[in-house]
Amino acid sequence: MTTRRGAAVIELLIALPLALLLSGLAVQILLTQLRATRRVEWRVHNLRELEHGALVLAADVRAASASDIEAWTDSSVVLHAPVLVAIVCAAPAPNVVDVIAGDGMHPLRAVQFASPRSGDRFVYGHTDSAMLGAPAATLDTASFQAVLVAATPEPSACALSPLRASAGGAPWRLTLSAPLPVAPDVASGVALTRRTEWRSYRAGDQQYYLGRRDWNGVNWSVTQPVIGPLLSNTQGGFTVAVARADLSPLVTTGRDARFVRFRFRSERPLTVGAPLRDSLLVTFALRGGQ
Amino acid sequence: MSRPRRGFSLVIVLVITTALLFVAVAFTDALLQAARAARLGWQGERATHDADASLLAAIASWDAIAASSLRPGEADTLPSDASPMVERTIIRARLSARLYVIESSVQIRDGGLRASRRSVGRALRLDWPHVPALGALTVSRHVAIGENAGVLGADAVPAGWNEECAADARGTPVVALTARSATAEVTSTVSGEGAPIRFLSDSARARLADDLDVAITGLSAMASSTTADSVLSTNTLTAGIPACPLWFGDARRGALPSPACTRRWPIVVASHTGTVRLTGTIPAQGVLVVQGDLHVDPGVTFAGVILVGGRLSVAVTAGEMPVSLVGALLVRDSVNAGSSLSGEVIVQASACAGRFALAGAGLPRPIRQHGWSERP
Repeated sequence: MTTRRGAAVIELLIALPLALLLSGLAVQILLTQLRATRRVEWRVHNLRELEHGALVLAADVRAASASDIEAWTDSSVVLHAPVLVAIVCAAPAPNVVDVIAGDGMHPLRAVQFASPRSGDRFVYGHTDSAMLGAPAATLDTASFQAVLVAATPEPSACALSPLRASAGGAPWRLTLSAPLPVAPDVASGVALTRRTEWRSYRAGDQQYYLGRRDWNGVNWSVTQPVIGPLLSNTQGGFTVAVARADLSPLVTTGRDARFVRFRFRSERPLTVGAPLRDSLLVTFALRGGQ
Repeated sequence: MSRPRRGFSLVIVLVITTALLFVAVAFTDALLQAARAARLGWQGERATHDADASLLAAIASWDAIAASSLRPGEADTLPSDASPMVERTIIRARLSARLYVIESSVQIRDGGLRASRRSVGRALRLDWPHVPALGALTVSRHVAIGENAGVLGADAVPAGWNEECAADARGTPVVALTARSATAEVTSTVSGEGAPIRFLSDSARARLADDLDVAITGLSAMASSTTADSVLSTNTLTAGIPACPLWFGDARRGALPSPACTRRWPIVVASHTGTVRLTGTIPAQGVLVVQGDLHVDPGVTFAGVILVGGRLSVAVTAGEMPVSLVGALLVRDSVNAGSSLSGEVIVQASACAGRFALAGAGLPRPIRQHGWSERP
């Protein structure tokens, strides 16, 4: 018969603390990693959110010229965002213009960001009435504007235009609020823009969001949140800076503006550790002078 | 003999390792997603700027001859730098004699995958040497218009050109004749709605003469062909197939002439110092700059712009084929020899013919106001 010697107690006494120590360390590492992962995930989420805001904002700002910046504060900007860029094919009446809004894979297709509607701004360039064409420099110095009262797809319009077949889409008939002072040239480009405001606002949950609303000629629409929550206005959650060509921020009118810069800042409190802060700065060169 | 040891460390290690593996996978996945999102965003910006730069490069290397051969509504593809990682497509479409749209699409490839594609478009307006056409016929010196000759100021579209002139028929009446009142002898048809004849003061005449000098110099510098020949015939054909008129484009439309001939808008400079004869019966189109005098034979039909540094003479006698000059005719007459039109001669204003002819000398300028667009 073999005598059993009690070594197990000693082994257990050594192994258990060691196991506890190792387990504690492992759990600590696990928790740290989980927190780090959580932070990374939130950071990715935050940055995606901010980038999304910048992308949506870019669609409004990228094609803007200096005269499209109407007003701004530290935390808001009112600008004329593009709705439709199209080509004139006829002006059947002094306040009616038919434009080609194609949709094929062709440069003549219109660039359409939204359906035109009443209250949009109709912008067209100086007309070229000289017999053999005025010098181009004199044509770029002026543009005309009118207010749109109705926009309807008009299949019968532009029937005689040679551009029709290339564009491939249905033309729009734009009815303006008043006769145009000068009829736009056939084949010239026109733009429809919509008065749009971007601003940081405080929502019902007391958080700050970046919102966008637009003007229908009579009223502002309800502000729609684009991204958020952001830091409060006083903490610079959304800041707007408009600068001249020399990047001096001392701009008093939109006409002087050459650059517009936006900064988004968000903060997300975490259960452990310092809150997570991220920011994104985007600068757009305005195209008025190009 | 030692007994097998039954520890549980391995289980703990396995559990911890598995947990760490999950954490590592989640961490890596988040990092990869963030990296991909950042790369896509960056490549999108890169594609946008590449498209913008390609577009500017295409404008800088504008081929006026190829551009002017397009008809409104037509498009062509411009050459662009090729790269395995960046695919560029530049399409140019013509809207009117003077307006074009050019679009550059750039696709960035990421490891063989199509990562980001952006398109940038720009509206362009051609700028060409200013031609001071004040009407169908602009003369800075003496001119005599005889019986049966007509100078018509109402804007016209050449026969068969209706579709291509859809955007360039001005409809605005223009002045028919510009000359000094003391030296203009008008005994025939000079018509034009509004003010058919506009007489110039001495100072305005001097300014016009200066402008004509500048126009002649400017167009001469952009000539597609310069010749010292004293006779230019619209009937002389090239040796190739199709055989097109040697000097000018073919102004006829329809099935008969080859499109290769009707899409030519050359700028011909006749440097002969004496009198240059324009002859032939095939209707011609383009720009003709004559540095000396110009005599137009009976039967000539020309659509476009004619600038004459010296004097102009057109004489059609009874029984001969009439002369038709559609577009703009400008006479500098630097030595004040006096110009004359007699017989069946029609000088008809046509903004469309003039603009299409001058487009051959046009250089593109981006239109500033809302002339830029981007498609994501």
